[in-house]
Amino acid sequence: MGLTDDLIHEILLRMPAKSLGRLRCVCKKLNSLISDPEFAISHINFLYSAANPPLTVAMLRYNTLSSLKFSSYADITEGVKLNPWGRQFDKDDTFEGCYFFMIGSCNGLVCLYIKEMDKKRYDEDFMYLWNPITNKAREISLPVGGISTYVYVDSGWFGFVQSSNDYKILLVSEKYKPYHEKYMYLYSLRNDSWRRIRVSDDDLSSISGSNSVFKDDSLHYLVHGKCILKFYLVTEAFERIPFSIVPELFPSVNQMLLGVIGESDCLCVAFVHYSHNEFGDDSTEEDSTEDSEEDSESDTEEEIEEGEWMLELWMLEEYNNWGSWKITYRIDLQEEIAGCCIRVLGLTYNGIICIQAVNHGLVVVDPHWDLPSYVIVRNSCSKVYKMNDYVERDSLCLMLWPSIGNCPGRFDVSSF
Amino acid sequence: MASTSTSTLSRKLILKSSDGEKFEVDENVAMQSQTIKHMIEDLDDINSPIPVSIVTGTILSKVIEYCKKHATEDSDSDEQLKQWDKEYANNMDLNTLYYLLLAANYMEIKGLLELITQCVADMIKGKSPEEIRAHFNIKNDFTPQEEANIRNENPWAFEN
Repeated sequence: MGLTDDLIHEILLRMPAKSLGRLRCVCKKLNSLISDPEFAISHINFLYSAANPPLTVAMLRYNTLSSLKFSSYADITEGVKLNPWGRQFDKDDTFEGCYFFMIGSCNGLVCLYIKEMDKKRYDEDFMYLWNPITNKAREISLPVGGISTYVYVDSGWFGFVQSSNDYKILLVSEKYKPYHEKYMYLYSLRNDSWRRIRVSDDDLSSISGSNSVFKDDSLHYLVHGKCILKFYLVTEAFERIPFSIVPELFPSVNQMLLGVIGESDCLCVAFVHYSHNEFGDDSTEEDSTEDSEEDSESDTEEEIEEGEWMLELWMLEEYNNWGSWKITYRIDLQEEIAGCCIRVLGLTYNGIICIQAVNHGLVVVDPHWDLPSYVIVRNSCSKVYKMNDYVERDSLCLMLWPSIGNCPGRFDVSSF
Repeated sequence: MASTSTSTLSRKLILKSSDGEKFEVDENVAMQSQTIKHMIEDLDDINSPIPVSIVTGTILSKVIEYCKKHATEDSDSDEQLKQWDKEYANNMDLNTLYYLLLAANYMEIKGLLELITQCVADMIKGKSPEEIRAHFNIKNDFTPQEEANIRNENPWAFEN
C-alpha cells in the first residue's frame, strides 16, 4: 500500500467495528494505526458527524433482543428483517426464567434490567451494561430492587451526558413493601454510584409510566398530553412546559408520543387516532410491563368505521423555543394495514414509524412518501413491545483499546 | 487559445496532467478542487495551462467527469446524484481507485475523497485478514504467534 497514513486513516474511519477488529491482524502498520487511542476518539467523532449513521433498532421481547434490519433506508419495501440476537448475553443460562428489559442504549452499549420470575428465588434484580458486539458486560449494582419493586422501564434511561462527560442511568421504580414509595435514582458511571434524586410527588407521578425522550442533555416526558416535563441531567432540575397542540381534523386522539427525529434532530410529538375491531384478538391486552399512554377519551368513540388509522406529526423547529411547534405531516394508513395495527411503539431516529400489530406482527411505516410505504414484519416467537435506537458501529471504540481509559469522555467503558 | 467575450461565469481553464495531456474545463468545474482554486488566485494569466503535477491524463479525465457532474447542482436530485456516484465508483478497478484517491487528496476535492474512501472501506468490510492481504497485496509481517495473540484479544471480530 503506497497510501499515506492520513489516507489510510480516512478509510479506517469508515469501517464498522468487526472489520477493524479483523484489520488489526492484517499487518503491523494497520494494527498500530487502529490501536492508537487517538484513532478511537476520531472514529467516535466521525460516526457522530456522519450525516447518516447506520442505525439498527433493537427490540426486546420476553427476554430476547432483536434488531430491525432494513435492506435499504431509502425504500423500506425492499425488505425489513427482525434478527434475534439470541441468548448471547446469557450463554451460561444464569438468568434462565428471568425477564430482560431494556432501559436504554448508547454508543453501542445496552443497559439491561433483569428481573427474576421464578417464584422460589425472586428476591433480587440485576442491571448490566452490555456490548452486544463484543459480548462483554459489566454489572451495575442496584440501589433498590427485588420482589416488591416495580420498575418503570420506559421512564428510565441510559446514555451519555455531554456536559458532564459521563454515562448516566436513570431508574424510576416503585416499592410496595414495607410501605408504598416511588423512587428516582441517577447513576454516574464515572463515580460508579447511584444517587437518589429529590423530586416532588407530582413530578414523579407524571414521569412514572411516561416514555423518556433524550435531547440536549435533558430527558423529556409528555405528561397526559398537557405538558412536557423536562429533566436536565446536568443540574438535575425539573421544568414543566405547557403543551397545548391539538390536531384539528382528528375524531379523537388515542395515543400521543414524544420522540426525536434525526433528519432535523428535532423533538417531535406524534398524535395517533385509531379504531379497529376489538373482537377475537387477545394480543391487544396490555402487557403488565408496558405503560400505556392512551388518552381516556378514546373509549367514547365507538361509531367509527373499523380499521381507521391516522397519524399526525408535529415538530419543535427550534429547541427550547416552545412556541415553534409546526405540523410536519398527517397520514392516513391504508385500510388493509390499518385493520391489523394496535398501537405505535415508537418513531425511529430516521423517522420510520413502528407499530405493534395483531398476531405478533410489527408494521413499519415510512411516512416520507405521498402514499406512505409499509412493511409487515412477522414475528413468530412473541410480540414486540419496545423499540430503541441502537448505533452498532460505535461499539468498537468502547472495546478495542485498553489504553482508551486515559482518554477523556470514554474513561471507564474501556472494559467493554 | 484566444479568449473571446467570455463572462466570468463561463470562464475556461486549461488543466495539464503530469503526462502533458490538456483539458479545457469550465471554471466552476475546476474550482471544486481547493488546490486549483488556490492556484488560480495566485495566477496572473488564467489562459496558461495549470499543471496538475502528480495526476496522469487518464485519472484527470475521471476526476473532471466527477467534477462536471457535481458542478451542475440543480439538474439532479440528491438521490439521483448518490446513484450516479455509486455507479461511478463501482466502475473503477482497484488500481484506478488507488490513483483517484491520491488525486482527490492532492487536488483537495472533498466529495470525491469521501466517495473513494467509502468505496474502499466497503470493499474491505466483509473480508477476512487473508482476503484483505490478497486483495490489496499486503505482506503479513506478523509472526504466527503475534497474529494469534491479536486474534485472541478480540475474538468477537471473527464471529459471524
